Amino acid sequence: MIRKNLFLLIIIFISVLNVNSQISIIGQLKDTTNEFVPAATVMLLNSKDSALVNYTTSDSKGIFSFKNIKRAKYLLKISHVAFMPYQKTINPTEEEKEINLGLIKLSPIANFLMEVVIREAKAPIFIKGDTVEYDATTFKIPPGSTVEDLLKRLPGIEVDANGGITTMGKDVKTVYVDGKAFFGNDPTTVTQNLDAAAVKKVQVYNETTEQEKITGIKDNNKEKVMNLELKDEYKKGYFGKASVGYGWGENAANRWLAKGNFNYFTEKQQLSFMGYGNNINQSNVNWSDYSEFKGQSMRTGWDSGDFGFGGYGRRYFSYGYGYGGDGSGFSNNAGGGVNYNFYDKKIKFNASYFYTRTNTFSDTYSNRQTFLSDSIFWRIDTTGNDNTRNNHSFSTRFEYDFDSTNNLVLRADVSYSTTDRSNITTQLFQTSLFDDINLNSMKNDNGNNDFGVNALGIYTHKFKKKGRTFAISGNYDFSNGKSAENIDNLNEFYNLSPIEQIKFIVKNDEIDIDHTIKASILYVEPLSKQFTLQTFYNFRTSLRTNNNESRDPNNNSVDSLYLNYKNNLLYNRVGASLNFAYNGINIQAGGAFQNLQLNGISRQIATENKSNFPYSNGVPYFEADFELTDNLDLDLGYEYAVEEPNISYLFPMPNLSNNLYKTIGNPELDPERSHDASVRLSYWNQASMFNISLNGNASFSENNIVYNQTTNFVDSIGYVTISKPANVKGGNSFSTYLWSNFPIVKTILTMNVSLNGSISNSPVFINEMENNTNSKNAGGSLGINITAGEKLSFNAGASASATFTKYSINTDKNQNYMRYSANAGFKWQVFKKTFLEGNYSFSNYNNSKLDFNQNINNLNVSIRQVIGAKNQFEIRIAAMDLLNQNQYIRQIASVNYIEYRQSPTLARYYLLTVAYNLRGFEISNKSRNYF
Amino acid sequence: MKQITIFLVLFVIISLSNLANCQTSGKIFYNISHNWSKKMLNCKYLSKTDRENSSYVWGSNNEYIEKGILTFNENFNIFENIPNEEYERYYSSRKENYYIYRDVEKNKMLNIQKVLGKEYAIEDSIHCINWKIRNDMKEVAGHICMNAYYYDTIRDKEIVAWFALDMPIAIGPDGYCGLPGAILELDMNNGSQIYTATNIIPSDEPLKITIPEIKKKTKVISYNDFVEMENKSILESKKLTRPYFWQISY
Repeated sequence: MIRKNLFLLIIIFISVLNVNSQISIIGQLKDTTNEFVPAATVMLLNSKDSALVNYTTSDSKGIFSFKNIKRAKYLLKISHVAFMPYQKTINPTEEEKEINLGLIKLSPIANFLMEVVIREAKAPIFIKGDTVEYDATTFKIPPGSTVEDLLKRLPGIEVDANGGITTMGKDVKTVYVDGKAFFGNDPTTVTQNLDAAAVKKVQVYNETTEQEKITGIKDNNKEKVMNLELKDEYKKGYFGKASVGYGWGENAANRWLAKGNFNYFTEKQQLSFMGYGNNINQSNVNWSDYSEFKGQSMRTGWDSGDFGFGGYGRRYFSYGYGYGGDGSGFSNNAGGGVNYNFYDKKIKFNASYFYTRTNTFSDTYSNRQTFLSDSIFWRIDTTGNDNTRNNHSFSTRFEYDFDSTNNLVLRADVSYSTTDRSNITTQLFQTSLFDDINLNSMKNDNGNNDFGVNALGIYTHKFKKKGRTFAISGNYDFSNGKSAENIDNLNEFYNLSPIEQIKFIVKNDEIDIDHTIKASILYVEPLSKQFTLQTFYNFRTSLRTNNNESRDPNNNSVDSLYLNYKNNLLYNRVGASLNFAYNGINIQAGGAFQNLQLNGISRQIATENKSNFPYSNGVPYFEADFELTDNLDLDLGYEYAVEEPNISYLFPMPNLSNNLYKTIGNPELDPERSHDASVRLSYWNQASMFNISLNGNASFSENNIVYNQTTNFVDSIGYVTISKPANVKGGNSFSTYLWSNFPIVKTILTMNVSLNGSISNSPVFINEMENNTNSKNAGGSLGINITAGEKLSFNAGASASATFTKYSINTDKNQNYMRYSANAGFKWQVFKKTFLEGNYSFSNYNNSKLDFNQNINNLNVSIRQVIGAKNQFEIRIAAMDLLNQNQYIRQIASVNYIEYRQSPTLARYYLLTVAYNLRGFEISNKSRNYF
Repeated sequence: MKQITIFLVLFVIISLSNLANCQTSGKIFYNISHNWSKKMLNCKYLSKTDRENSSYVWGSNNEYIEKGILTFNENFNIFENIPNEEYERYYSSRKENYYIYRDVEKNKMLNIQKVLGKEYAIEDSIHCINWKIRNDMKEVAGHICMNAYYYDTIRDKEIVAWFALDMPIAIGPDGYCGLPGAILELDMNNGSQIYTATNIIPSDEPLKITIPEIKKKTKVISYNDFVEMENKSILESKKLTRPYFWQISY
């Protein structure tokens, strides 16, 4: 009971205290003409940080009040659209319970501020006490204007003929720049000399004299002062980095690299330079460097004028400078270029030039087993290659938005490349008993010059009716290729004595010229909110001419190898599709009618062949995307693909480089036709971070173009293969792919799993007998990532794949081959600026039929140290392929042969790299992880 | 000149007092622009090199515009997303329930929204931001607005609000509230995400506002649980150095 009373007492005591610590504030608002000011916003702010504590509005008599407010120091702020904001500090004494502010007079906001600045110029304006601030960037002035020109445009500021400034009826005698006096007392030295573009804000306020600061009494007749706040140049800048590395590899070969880039940008422009060179097989520019080089033009080069199915405006993207290569051999690489971008609200412009050079030399060994319906033979190839490719490419793009409804895109790409290839190959043919049949030696020197131009224009108009769109495009393509080839072929047949030798030496010159003109029209009509009709028309015509002449070592024309052809192609397609889009259901269904006409004429010395075929057909199209639930998506697609035969299939170039393998043409070819369907199902859970997606593709070929092979044993020569493109019916392929990623321990341990499988049936004629190759492939991978704190991360994974191939003409030759691999790696931030990285991988390639089994272990370790107060330098020591086992291996199971191919490539080397980065290097273990 | 000034001032006052009377109910239409480059650039826990690279490549025009509508009367207000027809024509996403409902009279909030892929009903008393008032003035959708500021430490986000002096009702888009006037513009992290009122339709009759229905499957949670869930997700994203705003609101 006593306790309860005590409790009550305390409560009462606290409430009394509370009441004592509370105050109220009242006041009344009137304007300068003594009228009440109703509906003014009265705010009570914390005097320390301006935090809003309470607010009210004044009533019809201009009265406002705050009741039961905590006793504290406040800032009272009164705002009204028609009056200058009023502000007063309230500092209640210990005893005060009610603070009556009495009558507060509000002065109207000057007309020019409200009507002209805020409403017309839409300029934010800053009003605090007697300071008025203009945002100079919102007033349009011609380039090169002085501050005086700017001031003349500011409402409420007048500038007379002599440059004298007045505002609100008072002279401005002092002009500061960033709060500091500028060249003495004459304001015109500033206003008539300083560039207006440099000014961010103009502030006008009353000068506080020394006397006022001491007395606190304001003098209302004092002078006005102007301050010009300059723009911070944060939108201008530059960045760049450079690195050089040197080291050595096997056989004391020197290894080096050098690369650098520099970017300069302003608010509307980007200019970048880039260069690289190395002999460590880095033959192209990586994605990150490439995107930094291209800058904003990275996402504007996707234009395609070929309107059709798949949504209007679908754009294709390709990237890259440099020649990728297949990873075999050794390459010396160099390249560099310059890129310029300009973009504003109306114009986007880009121009860029890039040069690349790659010299690759490689030695390849391959072992191939070919089977015919009744026999088998082996072929063992050794090839030495030396290729050099130079490429110059120039591209430019201009986009102009006339207004929000009209858009024009113009672009042009020009490229010039030269290629020099020389290779020496020996092919040893053996019977199934490993007896040598013949040895075919080939020496081939080939020089190419290719020049290409592509010009594209697209005009788009959006109508007033939302969604109604018209677009038209035109495209011109020109290519001119010249090649000169020296062929030196020697076949030695062993079974005869003396050995039968056939020599074949020829010089071959080819010129290939192609002109293509394309045009497309698109019209989109919205039928309702959900339905849109899209119609299109495509036109394409091309003229291709090719001339091939050959000469023997005595410089006499080899008539049998002369070929000249001219081919004219005319293509027309008209189509329409209906699009439905509503609440996560998106369906596009349509069809097109297309007509293709090929008119060709080919001349040899004695004969002239004409080929002429018109081909017409209808093609349906279907695509659907369903968001089944919030986290589950289903995409379905179907397309009837029709593709014209490649012209070289119709009039093939005589393939001369190899006397034992010849390709002949087939002017009777029909276009390829297939039904392609795809399905994709994906599920994700944002809370548990679990993702899974399942993809399936199926293709049913109606009419496929394949190379039928005829291989015959010719006495005193060996096995000779003739390959001829032809249409075959049937054939199909199915593939499926599953991928999943999920955390086992959130943010620490994640796992990814993938499974894939495919089946294909491809018919082809071997020695005029139909062979059906049935190929099955199954594979899977498992990986984990561990983030052990901010400084250490690990990853590990393993994968396996198996391929099973069956041949209907020779079931004895059914093939199984396997591939296993495993890898592990780590990244460790040892000290604040020291990073240690390593990775190890193991691969096994296996084919029992070819008696082939190869293990490759690859270990790389590197350490890098960031140096300098701004982290601008970095030293890196890398040891690549420490176990010296790296090599290029491929396994192939094709129509009627199986093969493996091996080539030495860049293996163990050590490299010391020094790098400089203007922006500084990152000193964290953070990895790019955008999604 | 002076007479014109007085006339104008009077005119403004009269028209405003008229407006003030009727603008306790109406609809405010907002454009919500998302600038992904700026969001990325301002996400300071990501790698600096990557952020600068993405902003250099994507520039300042990488914007996506959403649309929202705020319906209000004296006691209730509700904010909803409406589809942006320009995007919906070629691809329409599944419509999500998104209702930000406020009952001012009973001091009650109800949000129906997706959090981390799942729909929740967040039911609680009204929570508003503790704003700081600043001195700038500008016009938004024909209304003179004052400026308020808040700094969100969890999201590392500056919020600048512009509230109308002549619409004395403490409402705003997406549940932002607590200012002496309707919020007509909200700028987050210097243009990373901006809500701008495009059109205001006042209504003489108070518009009828019904409380959104909570479906059986939808889990009801408190405001604190909701904030805790969001904060946990932000922390996870920080650990994984990926942007938090793919999973939850900016």
